[in-house]
Amino acid sequence: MSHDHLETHDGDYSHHVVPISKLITTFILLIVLMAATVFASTWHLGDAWYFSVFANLLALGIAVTKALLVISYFMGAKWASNLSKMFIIGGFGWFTTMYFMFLDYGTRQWEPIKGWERDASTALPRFKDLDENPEAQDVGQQPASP
Amino acid sequence: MAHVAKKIPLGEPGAVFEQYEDIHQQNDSYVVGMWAFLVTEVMFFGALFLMYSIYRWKYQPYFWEVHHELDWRLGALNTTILLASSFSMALAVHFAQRTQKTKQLMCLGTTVLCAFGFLVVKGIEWSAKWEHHHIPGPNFHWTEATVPPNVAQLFFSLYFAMTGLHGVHVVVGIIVISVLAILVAKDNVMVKGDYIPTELIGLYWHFVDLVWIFLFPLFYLIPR
Repeated sequence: MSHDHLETHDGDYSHHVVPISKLITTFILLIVLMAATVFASTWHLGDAWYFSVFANLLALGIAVTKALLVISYFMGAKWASNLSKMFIIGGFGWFTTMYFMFLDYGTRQWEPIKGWERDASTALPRFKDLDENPEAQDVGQQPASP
Repeated sequence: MAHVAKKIPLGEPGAVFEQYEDIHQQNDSYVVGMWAFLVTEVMFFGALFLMYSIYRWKYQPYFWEVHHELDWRLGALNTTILLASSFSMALAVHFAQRTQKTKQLMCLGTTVLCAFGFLVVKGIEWSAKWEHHHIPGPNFHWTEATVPPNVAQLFFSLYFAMTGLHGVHVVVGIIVISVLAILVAKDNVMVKGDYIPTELIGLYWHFVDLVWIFLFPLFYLIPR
């Protein structure tokens, strides 16, 4: 098999040798993004909830960018066959879809259920006896187990 | 090229089994198979990531407090080591495709060395947790008054479950890459003149890197 043949794109099944220069660029970008996410984690913009959401989205956005770089260039998904791409998109797409269940967690307090008002974010009615135990707000404030 | 490849007898490099049109289709079915396996790995880790997310959602301020117990510098060092190992693995695949055996072996060796380096750093971190009694269980000890011990224990349970499972994958990676390097060095018929074994093991190793890319910000860099 000659080297020239390896670089042709004559069909869906032919593979591609990723040039070393592209691999080096990917590696440098990954290190820069890692430094960026460490730097961004030192910011404290304010105590409001939306700053926390922003900081989390920023950290995850950088992580997703790094993941896309690894998948596209190191794993060669950019040059993969359509069948491989179907599996790649299917796998990570499923992972993303799973997180839609936070639509449920996030909206529970909008439609509180009687008895669960003080602990809306949990699915379990942990303090049905709130009248007897008014101090308890969530499991985190219970006395520690030994 | 395809009609030439078909004439190569089975067992020789570049041989095509009869169910395939040509060598490209055969190679692609290997890659697809590996990705199918990696999809199951996404589901495996996905359950843990979801569990983490739910408790982080519920206990964000506490998780922020507890995460200071982890040293972000060691986490960043491990991220660098793992990214470097992924880079050298990608180079190994490149040299395997170019049938440059010596360079391929050097890259595989670098990858294994980086993987060992990763485990050494992880060992340093875990032994510190052991000394501070931060391993979840009956001996778990927590003195920080601002965080309930149960929530601190929850954080460390997630930390050990997720980095532990990831660590198991690193150990498996070391074994698989070492076996591959030995086979390549001995010109074994399974790997001689065929880049596909290196490509598939490379995909696995990059996936291990991918998991860490998410573990690092989720455990070491929790924002306030």
